Amino acid sequence: MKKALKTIRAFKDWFLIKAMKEGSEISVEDTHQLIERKEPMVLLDIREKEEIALGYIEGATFIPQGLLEQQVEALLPDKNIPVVVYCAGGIRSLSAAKLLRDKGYAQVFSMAKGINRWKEAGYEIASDSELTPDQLTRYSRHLLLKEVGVEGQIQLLKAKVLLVGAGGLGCPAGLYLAAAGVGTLGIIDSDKVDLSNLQRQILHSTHDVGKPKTESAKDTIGLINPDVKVITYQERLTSENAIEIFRDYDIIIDGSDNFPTKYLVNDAAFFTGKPYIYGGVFQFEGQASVFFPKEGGPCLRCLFPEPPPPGLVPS
Amino acid sequence: MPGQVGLIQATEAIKLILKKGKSLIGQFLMYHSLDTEFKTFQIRKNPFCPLCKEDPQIKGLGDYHEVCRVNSARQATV
Repeated sequence: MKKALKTIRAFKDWFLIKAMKEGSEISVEDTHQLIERKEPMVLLDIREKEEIALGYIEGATFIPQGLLEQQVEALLPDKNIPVVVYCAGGIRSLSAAKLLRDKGYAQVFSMAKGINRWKEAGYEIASDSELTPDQLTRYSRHLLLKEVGVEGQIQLLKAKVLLVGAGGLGCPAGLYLAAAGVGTLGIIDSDKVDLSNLQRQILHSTHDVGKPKTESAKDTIGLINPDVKVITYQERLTSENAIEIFRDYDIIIDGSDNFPTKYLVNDAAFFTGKPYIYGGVFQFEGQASVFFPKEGGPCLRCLFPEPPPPGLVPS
Repeated sequence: MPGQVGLIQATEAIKLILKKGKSLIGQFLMYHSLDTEFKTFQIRKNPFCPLCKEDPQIKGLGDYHEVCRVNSARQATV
């Protein structure tokens, strides 16, 4: 395995050196100068759609690498105009440049180290996206996934999720939802952080002991992702406040540790028509489900119509 | 332990937001960490459910702590 990697690396180095020797690479600085001087040239971006969503160089022509062979001559009929090809890191553009030369383009350059180097050099990046440049970078790994992309990320940023409890389940859930850019997180918890919580309730730190859990959770989330709006309810979830609170959210995540609250969450989620993401942990066993009768699934009471009688619950 | 379950819950939330994949609606997941075993069971709507059947007995939120006095009984989490 190691040997194979070494061979690949050596081959890549050889390829780069050869390309540079042939004078087919151009630095981002030189490319920038050509653009500034408005020299007649074509800037060709050969990356995939998902990558272009992360930003591109103003004035670029887009032909994804896979379609280059087929489309380049139709889209760039003038074979004498200089062409600067770029990709993300400057490797794919080398082979694309070779393809163009083979097709008879007279002056083809591959932009060394690609748009990544362009960004590092502090040159401007254009974007058609509704996301800010910081968001494009922060969520870049999401944007590359076809299941998420810019559209999905915008959905995440618009979403409102309520965490019932900022304890063992609510903390990890909240941490990841915040990092993923879920735009609004509600947290309801009446407890204060105790030293014995810290072994699993990872939104809280040693210096938070004694603080309300909602406050500590909000502080941590704010440090991880300032895009997230955190709404705190430092109170118990009750029959009186549940419906009103649930109404403002799209999804309810249950991180409660007792049956009365689980049944209350189940019923309030049903009456407000929200999906109820159930979770439970007992010692080394965990459970999870999504109760959403509106979408055809059962609710908690379909399985267990009534809460267990007192005394049967592990304590 | 609660970490894994909390992250499954977060993942389910993200799937619902993105409307991607197969969610845990109608499925019940059990995770046995000591055996490193994940099991999913199909669960169905109960036609006699006191809450979500047609014309149910439960028509609004009641007093949950009266029904089940287990305030002090907390599930141990590891």
